[in-house]
Amino acid sequence: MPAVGQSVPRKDAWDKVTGKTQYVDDLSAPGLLYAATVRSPVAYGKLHGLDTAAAAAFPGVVRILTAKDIPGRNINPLVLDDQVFLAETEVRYWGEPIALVVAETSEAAYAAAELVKADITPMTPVLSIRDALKLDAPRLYKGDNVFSSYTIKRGDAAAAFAKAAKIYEREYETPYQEHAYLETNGMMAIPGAEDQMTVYGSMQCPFYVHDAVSQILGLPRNKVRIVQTATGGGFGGKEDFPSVVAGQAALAARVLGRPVKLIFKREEDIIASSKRHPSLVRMKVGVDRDGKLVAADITYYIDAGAYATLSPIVLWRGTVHALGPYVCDHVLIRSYAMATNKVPCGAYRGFGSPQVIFASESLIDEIAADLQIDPVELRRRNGLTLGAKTVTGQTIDQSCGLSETIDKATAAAEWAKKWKPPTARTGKVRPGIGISTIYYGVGLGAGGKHLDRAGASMTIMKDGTVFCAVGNTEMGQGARTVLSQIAADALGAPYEMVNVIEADTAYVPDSGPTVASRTTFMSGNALVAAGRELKGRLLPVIAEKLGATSPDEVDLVDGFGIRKSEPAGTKIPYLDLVKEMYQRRLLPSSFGWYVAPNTEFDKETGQGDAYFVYSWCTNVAEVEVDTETGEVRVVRITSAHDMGRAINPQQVEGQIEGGTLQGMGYCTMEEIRHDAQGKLLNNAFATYILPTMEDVPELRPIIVEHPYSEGPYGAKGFGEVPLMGIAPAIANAVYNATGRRIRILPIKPEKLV
Amino acid sequence: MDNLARVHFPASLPEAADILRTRPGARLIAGGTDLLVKHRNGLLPDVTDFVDVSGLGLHEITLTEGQVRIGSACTMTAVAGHPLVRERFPALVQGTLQVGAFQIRNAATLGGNVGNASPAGDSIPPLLSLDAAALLFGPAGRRTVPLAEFFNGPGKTVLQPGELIEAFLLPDRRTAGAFLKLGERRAHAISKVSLALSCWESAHGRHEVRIALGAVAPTVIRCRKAEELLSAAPWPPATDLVAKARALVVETARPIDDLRSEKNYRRRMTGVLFGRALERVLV
Repeated sequence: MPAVGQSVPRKDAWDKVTGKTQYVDDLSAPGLLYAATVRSPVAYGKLHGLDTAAAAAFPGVVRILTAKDIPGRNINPLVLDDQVFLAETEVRYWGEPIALVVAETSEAAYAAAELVKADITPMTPVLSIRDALKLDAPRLYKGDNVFSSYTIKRGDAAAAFAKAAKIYEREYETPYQEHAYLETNGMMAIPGAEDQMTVYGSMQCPFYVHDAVSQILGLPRNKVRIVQTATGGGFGGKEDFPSVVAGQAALAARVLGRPVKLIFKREEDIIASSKRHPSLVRMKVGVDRDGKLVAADITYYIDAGAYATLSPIVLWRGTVHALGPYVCDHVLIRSYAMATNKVPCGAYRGFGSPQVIFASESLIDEIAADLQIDPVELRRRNGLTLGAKTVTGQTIDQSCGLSETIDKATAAAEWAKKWKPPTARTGKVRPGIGISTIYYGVGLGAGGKHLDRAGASMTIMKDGTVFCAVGNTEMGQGARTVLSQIAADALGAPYEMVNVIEADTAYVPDSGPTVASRTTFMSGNALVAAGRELKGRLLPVIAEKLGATSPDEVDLVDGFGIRKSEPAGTKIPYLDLVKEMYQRRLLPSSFGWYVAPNTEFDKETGQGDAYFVYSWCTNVAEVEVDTETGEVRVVRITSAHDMGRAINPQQVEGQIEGGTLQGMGYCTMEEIRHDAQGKLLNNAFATYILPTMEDVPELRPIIVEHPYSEGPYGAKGFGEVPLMGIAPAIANAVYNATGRRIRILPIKPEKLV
Repeated sequence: MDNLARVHFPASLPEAADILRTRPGARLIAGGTDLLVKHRNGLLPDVTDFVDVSGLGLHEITLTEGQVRIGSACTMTAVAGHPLVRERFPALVQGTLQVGAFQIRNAATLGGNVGNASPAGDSIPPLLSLDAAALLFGPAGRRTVPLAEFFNGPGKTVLQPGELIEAFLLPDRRTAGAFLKLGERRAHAISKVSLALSCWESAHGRHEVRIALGAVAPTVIRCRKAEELLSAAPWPPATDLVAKARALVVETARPIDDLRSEKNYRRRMTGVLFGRALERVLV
């Protein structure tokens, strides 16, 4: 039986549930020192210097490091190259790292960090998108407070609005979202002989970390090695930020010549790490008499925070997804990433799309309500189908399961039976049902295509076990298991004998980041290439043993060499072939390399093939709203997803369940609060409210498979999709229950009564 | 600076009281569900010693001399599950079962929740609604303080140096009651607003009623005017009387805006919770 399509257990499950897994804070090294971070006490100001005397005299303190100690460049290399590892002459957000205290114990390092006094002249901070847009706002980077912007221009929106039967204009706002991964950020840097530096830690993107450590130390790349340790969750939060932590730990280790560990406390992690961008979305949509979308004008702002970091790419994804999976020939979308004096925002599952999806899927619902059309029907009338064009003018040429996800999700949720207008809802506690339909551009797309390649190495060991190294990471999403399934089938070896290890920059060249739901697709395709190459060396052996005249007549499938024409005939066990391979001194290793299908866009108009393929999804949320207290109970969420092919259906369902809960938290409870000076107020799990097990609704995941011809066994990518459309589905259900439309997330009870 | 603390395991109440008296930086610890988090986060800079109460025999729930006596080191789970409590004090069962989550309730104690003196402590409104008193043990011996007079403000109580809560004393009677809270989620939620209502038959056709509100004032507070109105009238109360009582409950609340909720919402919700608690009691 092929491994692909089976719900094999996760490779890492047993060690994780029994506590054997070693995370970075479980590791140690001889002579280990501990670092703690000194952080800015103001949101914006001129930094004149530091008084470190008291901290330096604290028992156990070894050294206090500032930007002046950096031997290389004090810039975390990313898109615009603006974020410093340690502040130099100005501080740009509350909590920005200013110095590192290194001590013999973690306790001493933290206690001494409290004693460092920064000499800062505070300046008036910019603390919101609206503030940043004001004409008299402080100019944080001399320009207009805009880090980056995009335009998508298709057809003639102005002319189309003039002909529209009805026009809808609404404004929506979304809050921060904190990743709240179980394991906080942490790194351990170990200096070695000949200027080597090895950094172990929790991360999604070892190659970003490699760039960062090499840059801060001023060391050539072949002196730096990054080893990902078991990573307790990422969700995008460990895309760019671990580079900062690793750079700082490596700086201390390099200066002091001893191993250094930098592990964040939860309260510190919430202050310092990236978050989902808050947003402001202005939607204007025109429809004809049948509710068909004829014109759209969308302006999308995100609050990028103090440094650009990943915001330009986050903004690109949001821009492409701003209208949703609908046909509309006349579109103008403009988007802006705004600089403010808060912690830099970055990647979070959905990457700039959940914000605009909340806006557009809410507006579609508002249009349906106004036109008195069933919201499902309105989506069917407008949804993208094979042959249709997206807002960027890209033709959907294959693998389009949108309408099937609508069919399956609404059928399973019994939409037709349950939906009725809000005016028909009565009683203290009112049921409501809501829908969202979304699409998702898989991979880095045109905004990040120069990074979109991946490598994989594969070696058959003497005993037949297979060792694979890839450049994408396991962060709890099940990548090692799914990739092992793909590798096993590509080679034809039994799944149990195949293992993919955690990423290490010494084994595989830069394979891009582990983001954008690209790992199954990209590393999977690299493994397919490696597996096929290795199998190609075994086919002549099989042909010889089976008396076939050509290797083309035979195959290696599920652990047996067979004749294609007689699959049930004589079989050569895989282990016999391995023995032959070693006896004949055949090369038992191979390397696969995969470059993503082409994408492109025009800078002026945003037109082009934004992503190489799209995943599709329909969510149906059912709620009960207590009309006296405003409490929303999410009762059930049914989600149908087209991810091309479910390599491991259980993992797919797990992704749907986890993402749905994160989406529910985003919609109903999560938000970050700041005071008027820009201090972050709720940096603990007692005050940053996440759903718990008690809040979990009934979850019904549905798998829809429209295979993608370029995908490994037809798979696309979909890890982010389960979160993306949950907020509007719930918001639409709340509207359906109460007639109240909430346009500013989260939907807290206080807003409903 | 050094955040290591000494932990004491006294074997008797006098020994515990002595440590508390002689070491000004000493704090009692039972479940530690609140203290240890604060300690780890450096929020207890003056605490030098922890005095563990687990060896003091404060885990019993007994019925003596017309009072149910609940040892201060009883966990929330133990209180909620005890037959003496279950048969008499539904508001207390519901309150202790809404503290934190399973794991916290298995460790957190009634004495800790009360001694912590948070206006949002979920066991406190039920205890006030049941006319509970705190039995205190200190260097000068024992004394009893009605719980309604125990709190001076957030985190502040009448406990004197060296004094600790030995037990809670609740009048032995069968009560009807309810505890309702609104939180930011369904578990692990600190109350935005909470209400306990308990009542018992005082004479034929009359019920003595107690109402306590949580998280809407610097301490948990009683709604005495509403209590008096309902206690003096025939039971069950007439609709217009309920409306009057509800207005009095809402008037009693003095809530604030904070991270968890808003002043106006909290105030209005006291009325909603009162209505619902009364409905439950009357069923």
